[in-house]
Amino acid sequence: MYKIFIAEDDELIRDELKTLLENAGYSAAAADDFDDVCAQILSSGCDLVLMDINIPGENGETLLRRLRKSCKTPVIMVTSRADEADELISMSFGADDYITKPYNPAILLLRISAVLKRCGKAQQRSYRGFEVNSAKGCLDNGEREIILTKNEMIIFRELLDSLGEIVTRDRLMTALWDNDEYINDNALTVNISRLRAKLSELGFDGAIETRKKQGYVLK
Amino acid sequence: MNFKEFLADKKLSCALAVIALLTDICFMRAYGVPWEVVLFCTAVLMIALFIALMVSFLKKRSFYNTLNERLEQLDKKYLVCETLDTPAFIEGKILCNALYRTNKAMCEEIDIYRRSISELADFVELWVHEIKLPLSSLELMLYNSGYTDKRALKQLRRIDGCIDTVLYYSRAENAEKDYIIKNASLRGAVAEAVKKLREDMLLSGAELDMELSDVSVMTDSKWLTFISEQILSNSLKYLSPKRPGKIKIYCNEQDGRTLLVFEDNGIGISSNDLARIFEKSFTGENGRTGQRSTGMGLYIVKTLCVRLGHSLNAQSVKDEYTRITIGFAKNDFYKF
Repeated sequence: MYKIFIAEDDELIRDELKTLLENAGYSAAAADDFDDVCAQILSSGCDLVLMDINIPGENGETLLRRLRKSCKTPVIMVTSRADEADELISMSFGADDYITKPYNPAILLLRISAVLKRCGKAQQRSYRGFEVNSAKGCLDNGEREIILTKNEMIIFRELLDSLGEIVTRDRLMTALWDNDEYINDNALTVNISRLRAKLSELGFDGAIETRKKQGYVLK
Repeated sequence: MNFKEFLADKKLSCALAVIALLTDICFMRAYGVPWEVVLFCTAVLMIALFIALMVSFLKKRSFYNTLNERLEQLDKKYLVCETLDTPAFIEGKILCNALYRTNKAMCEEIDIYRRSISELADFVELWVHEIKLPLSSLELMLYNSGYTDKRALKQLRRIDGCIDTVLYYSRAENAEKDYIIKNASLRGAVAEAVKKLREDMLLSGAELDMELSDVSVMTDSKWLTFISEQILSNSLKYLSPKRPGKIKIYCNEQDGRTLLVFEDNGIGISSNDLARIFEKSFTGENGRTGQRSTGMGLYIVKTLCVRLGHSLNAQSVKDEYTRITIGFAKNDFYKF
């Protein structure tokens, strides 16, 4: 389980973020006092830091700079300022991603998992002996190979991330839109049935189950 | 100022001088002074008077004509005082002094307002920052409780949109508020706006076709995101009930300029209204009949575009389409 450290001074947001992350299957720790957040981060042994740029005491930028001197833990900066300067500064100080308040929680979760993946912290991806090759856009077990479109691949990876669990349509939609695929509800349904057909070709009939009014489960 | 005007202004002094001279002549003749002496004295007096008048005229003419010329040429007329040399006659000195003092008083007066506007703008920025905290908490709470009510989320998004309008209105109206013009990805900025409108877009059932190649333009990407969001939310607001909604976003090159186009097949804008849609508080037919409109969105968009140096055009045919085009200046213009 990945551990995420939250550096956020608004107590309510901090608690809600904790709940959000814990519900999403991460373990979360948060800074309660802001005397030496850097030391707290380092001693927490976390896999990712979610940092508000306007925390009291040392501000986010200096903290980030100090943190970068001693470790490479990925950092996502959060701010409420719709201001280009903040973004430039934090990216140049080595933040891995940047998100503006009020963020969409689904997108925040997506960005967290994307950053974790990018930093090589995600597990090997395979499904029933088939390796998921995102770069080539295919599933492949050495003998057989099946090509997925970009949309199908995004959906499949999202389902695979929560293998055996319900994935809501909303979550799939968020993942698609965050990858610049602006499809509507009908198109999502079409993509899911195409993906089903392709999985059947591999002999995985009924791999994607529909749970009425809840979402889909990949088995 | 010419000599005639000058004389007209001095007619009382001239008349008095003539009367005095005539009286002198009569007086001298009465005492039997010979004509030669009378004429000589009169001539000397007249020449002296004339020279005095001429000198005074030339001094004044050079000062007042320069003043008028500078006033014509100057863009900021209140600076005229600074461009003049101190005149060599008393009225000129008094005038310059008075101009200088009124100017100074007016500058102080303006400064009071400028400071209060700038303080207001600072406060708006701070306030927007503050208000986004509870919005964030609310959104997180909604999400953590399982998003049972999508309507609540929609209202939350609406509040967020309204707040952004205030922020960008304040930024657009305040020349001092800075923005960063740099090479930004057109696609990235517009995509940000599209993602913000996801719920509305999905609820409306409109089909979105976004084809933006990897072009970079010189702009402030945050501002461009806001601009795109306003234009797109208008498209969504005024979709036609007669046909399935379609929104197209694309870009092309024209004379080395990049054009970003938002096109929808909504209810369109009547030709009477089209010319005025970017005016402040203009609501028009659509704003009155259908959805309520404040008439501020497109005005802010226009102001921001002007500040950023982008062109902004609208084309529309009632009941057919609306097409908004933003033109980005040639990149070299900003390059150092």
